[in-house]
Amino acid sequence: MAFIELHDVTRTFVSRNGRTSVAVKDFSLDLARGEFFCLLGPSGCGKTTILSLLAGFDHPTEGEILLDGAPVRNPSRDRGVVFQGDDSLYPWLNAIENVEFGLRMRGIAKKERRERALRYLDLVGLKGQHEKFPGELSGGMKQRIQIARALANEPKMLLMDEPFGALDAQTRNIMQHELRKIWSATKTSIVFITHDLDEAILLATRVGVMTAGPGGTLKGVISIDLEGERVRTDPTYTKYYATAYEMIREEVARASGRMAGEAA
Amino acid sequence: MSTQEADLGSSAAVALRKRGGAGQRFGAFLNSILLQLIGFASLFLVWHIASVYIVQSLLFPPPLTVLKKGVELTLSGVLIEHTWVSLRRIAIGFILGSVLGIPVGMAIGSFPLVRKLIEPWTEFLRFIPSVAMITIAVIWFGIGEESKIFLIIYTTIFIVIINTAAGVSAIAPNKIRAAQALGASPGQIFFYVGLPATVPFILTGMRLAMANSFTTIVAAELISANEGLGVMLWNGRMYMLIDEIFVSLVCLGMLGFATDRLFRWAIYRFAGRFAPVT
Ligand SMILES: Nc1ncnc2c1ncn2[C@@H]1O[C@H](COP(=O)(O)OP(=O)(O)OP(=O)(O)O)[C@@H](O)[C@H]1O
Ligand SMILES: [Mg+2]
Repeated sequence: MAFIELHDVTRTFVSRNGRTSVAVKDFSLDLARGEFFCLLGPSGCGKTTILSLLAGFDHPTEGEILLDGAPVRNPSRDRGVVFQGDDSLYPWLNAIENVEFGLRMRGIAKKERRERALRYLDLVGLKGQHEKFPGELSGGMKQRIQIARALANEPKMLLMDEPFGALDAQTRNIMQHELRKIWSATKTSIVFITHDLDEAILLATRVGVMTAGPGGTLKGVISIDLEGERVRTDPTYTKYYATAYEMIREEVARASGRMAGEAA
Repeated sequence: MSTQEADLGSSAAVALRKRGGAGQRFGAFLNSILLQLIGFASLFLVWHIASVYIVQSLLFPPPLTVLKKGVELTLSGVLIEHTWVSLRRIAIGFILGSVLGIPVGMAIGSFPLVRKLIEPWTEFLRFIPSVAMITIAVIWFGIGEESKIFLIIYTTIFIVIINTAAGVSAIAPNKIRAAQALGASPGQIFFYVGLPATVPFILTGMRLAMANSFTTIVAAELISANEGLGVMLWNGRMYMLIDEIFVSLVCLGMLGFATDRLFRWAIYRFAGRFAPVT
């Protein structure tokens, strides 16, 4: 029995005018404990939908999601979430209060939770910014507060939806490195959504590629067997990149073809 | 807002930005106070010119005459008595209306079932203006305090309910989801996410309700009461005390302005922290 199993998961939405649209169709995947799984796919293919289902915010229309053999019903603090976009931050709390929110809800003493929150704020490179409110921070800074907030809660599993999307190349590199470090140190299971193939191969133990949406499904999975520090010049890295690139290219072409068709 | 500001991070840059901010803020403060004083002065100047040089009638006294009358009525205690009575009615009704309206609004915003049950009430009653309820209020509660307080509650509660409910519905679902994934219980989500996210909307609703309360109390006192600013206006009409009418009009304007400022300050003060930033 795998740690997490998705069996033929389908999620359809019914719009206000009664039309049903399929967000994800027949998505099946097994995830092992401690895995770093990157999910790639063109915009609108259903990545965020899959993440919401894994978090327990939402439920499959058909199929099931099992965690240690039991269906996922509710969100839990065992599964930390980094959301796409910044509307999940609390604008009435400053940076450090946002980061320690989960610890506060759990009743951890102020001194201890401050220390822990500060540690994670430092980790995401926001030293000295902890008194600022989200409204006073840039998009990339807000994203990093979200990451620190999820990490500070020390969940058993991390669900991250394009967490580094709003970061500049330099900060992104640092964050990728830090996340790999945290993952190797804690063996937290991670599901990580990205648009960036390069990022996926740098980070993941396995990369899943989805077909174009709407109604996307898992097209294929590539295991990345690269030991230790990963470098882009490594010939094996290049080989993985080429394989995955081919898979994605087709789907992106299909997705944009479809969009052009809709626009016409 | 400085959301687009580069992530400089260096403390020197932060300090610089802060100093500039404080200086600018002080300048802006002086500027706004000064402009407002000029605005007020021009209001009284135009009034003075219109009264003394254009209308030239006893029926439109100039500001200085009204001021003199105001001082006289203040010293005799009459003005303070009327003002106090009106303000007390507004305060009691307004507080009761808000205290009742906020939880109802939160419930409507939180539970679709409650919304369906209560919305007919709010959607029906809010279109019957409180002024239209004066006659029935007097018949039910008499001409004393109860009818006035009932009317102020009536005029407050629906605006507060609707704004509070709108505030709850405007909470981004991801804010709730984030709290769930961080381990917050439903009760904690209500108090630590739902409530603070709704505060700016509640305050805005209360500010609107306060403006309505002034309209309602004057109308109610005009029609039936023994004291209050509305009674002062009515007596002025009955005995042709033009100066007194103007005193109570100016008094209403000033009171309304002051309370509205108070709300704007509160919204600014809290919304600095609580503004629904997307
Ligand atoms: N709540 C919803 N109601 C209706 N349709 C939805 C809802 N959520 C998602 N969808 C639809 O499901 C499909 C997949 O959406 P999803 O957000 O999962 O895509 P995504 O892969 O995360 O895209 P992106 O990379 O742009 O974030 C889209 O066609 C979207 O319109
Ligand atoms: Mg998405």
